[in-house]
Amino acid sequence: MRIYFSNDPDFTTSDWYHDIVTGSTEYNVKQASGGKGANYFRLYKVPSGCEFRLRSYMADKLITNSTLIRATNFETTTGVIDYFSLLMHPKRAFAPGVFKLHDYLFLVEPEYNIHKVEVTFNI
Amino acid sequence: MENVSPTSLHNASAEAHLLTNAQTLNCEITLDGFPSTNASERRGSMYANGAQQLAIRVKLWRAGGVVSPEEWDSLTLLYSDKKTEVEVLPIKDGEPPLLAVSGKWAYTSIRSAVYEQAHDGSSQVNAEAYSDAWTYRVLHLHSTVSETTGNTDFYVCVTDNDGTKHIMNTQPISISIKNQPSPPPIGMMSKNIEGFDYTTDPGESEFNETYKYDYNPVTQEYFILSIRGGFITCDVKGREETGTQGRCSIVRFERDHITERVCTVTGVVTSRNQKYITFDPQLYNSDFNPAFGSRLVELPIHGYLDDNTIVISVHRFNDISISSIPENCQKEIFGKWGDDLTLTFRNRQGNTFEQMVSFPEKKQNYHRNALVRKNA
Repeated sequence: MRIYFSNDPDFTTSDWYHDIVTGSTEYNVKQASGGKGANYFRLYKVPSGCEFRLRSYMADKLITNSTLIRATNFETTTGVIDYFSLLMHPKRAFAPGVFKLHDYLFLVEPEYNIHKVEVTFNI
Repeated sequence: MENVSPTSLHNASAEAHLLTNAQTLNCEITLDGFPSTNASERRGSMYANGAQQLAIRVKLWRAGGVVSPEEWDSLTLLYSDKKTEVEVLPIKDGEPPLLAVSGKWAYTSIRSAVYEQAHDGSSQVNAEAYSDAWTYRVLHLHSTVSETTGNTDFYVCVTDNDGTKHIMNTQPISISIKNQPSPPPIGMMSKNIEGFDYTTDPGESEFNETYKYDYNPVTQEYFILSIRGGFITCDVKGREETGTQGRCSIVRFERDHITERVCTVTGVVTSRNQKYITFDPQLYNSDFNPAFGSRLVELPIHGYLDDNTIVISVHRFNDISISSIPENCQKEIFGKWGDDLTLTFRNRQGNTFEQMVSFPEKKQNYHRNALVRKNA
């Protein structure tokens, strides 16, 4: 029940992760990386129904690009997901067990790194 | 002396030594389902399990007159000692004749659809020709003798108007007992019924078989079991149950957790006359009803049931709240209700055979999507 982050497109595991617990949690990816944010992430044994909102902030922190995905497998484990591809993807099946529900794209001076993740898991 | 034979077999097989004048009774015996090119041979075979009738067709005629009703009624079947009569099974109203004791022979005058008609490999079973029914009678032989006893010979005996007994010595009937047939193979296929609208666009993502479940949370799918050769009855019960009938639904929640709302319930269709899908009646009773009752009432069957098939319908929901039923019921649902079902079929060849169907083990991906067959 984890989400791993990395800036290496070929990573399998990483010390940079957030454990998923019941309820709603937030994780500041940008802070954990020392300011840059993450380009890539992986889901590891994420329960079905769990939702992630992945955000990137503009410099003024007022306007964000964001996307909302839901895990659909009992234990969803994915390969490396490129945040930019996810943002550009239509609101549909993205990978086995990953369904993209929503996005909000503000493309002026775009920022495509994950700065914050909000996790909702209600069991 | 002139005889009119109904078949060309007459000269070879009629009881010629009985003939003294035109009033002499002629007889020809054949076995339905065991065509033989050798007129002097009447060899048949039956299963040891009592599931068959073997039709011994006896033709009687007279060149110069009719065969009287008394003569017809005097037909009996004798064992090879030519003295002991084979038992006649009584005909009861509304019940098929039944030879209940094992290791016995018997016969009856009626053909019952409950039994398979014995026949050889060619499966050439004589069609009954009602137009000339007055020329023959059929003795329907039953057997529960074990297959190790070898061939058994029988003779037909008729008593004529003079009170003379005629045993058809030259037309012996030889019946062997063969192995009970093995249970027929069972096939399973699935059919999407409702809710499978989400399909991937070309290039959207690599196609994956599981997408139809991943991205269609509310679905209805039929798993169709086909039984070669058909079946007479199908009883459904839970793996944990003894007896013939029992639990007929599987209930799986995505997680065995009190806040869970994502759930699969199965129903069955075992009869072509059924109008609605059958779910386990307990799911409608007062304790379980708040969660399941309203969702499972009078769900119509889509399409028609093919011959020799049953359907297990799999209904996936995303809004059944387990918290709406008492805690003891929740425990029960999370327990045995997720387990396999055992289907017990009985067919006309006398076989009773089982098929287990189940979902994959809990706590893994796709554990409430597709049913699989499982060997007992």
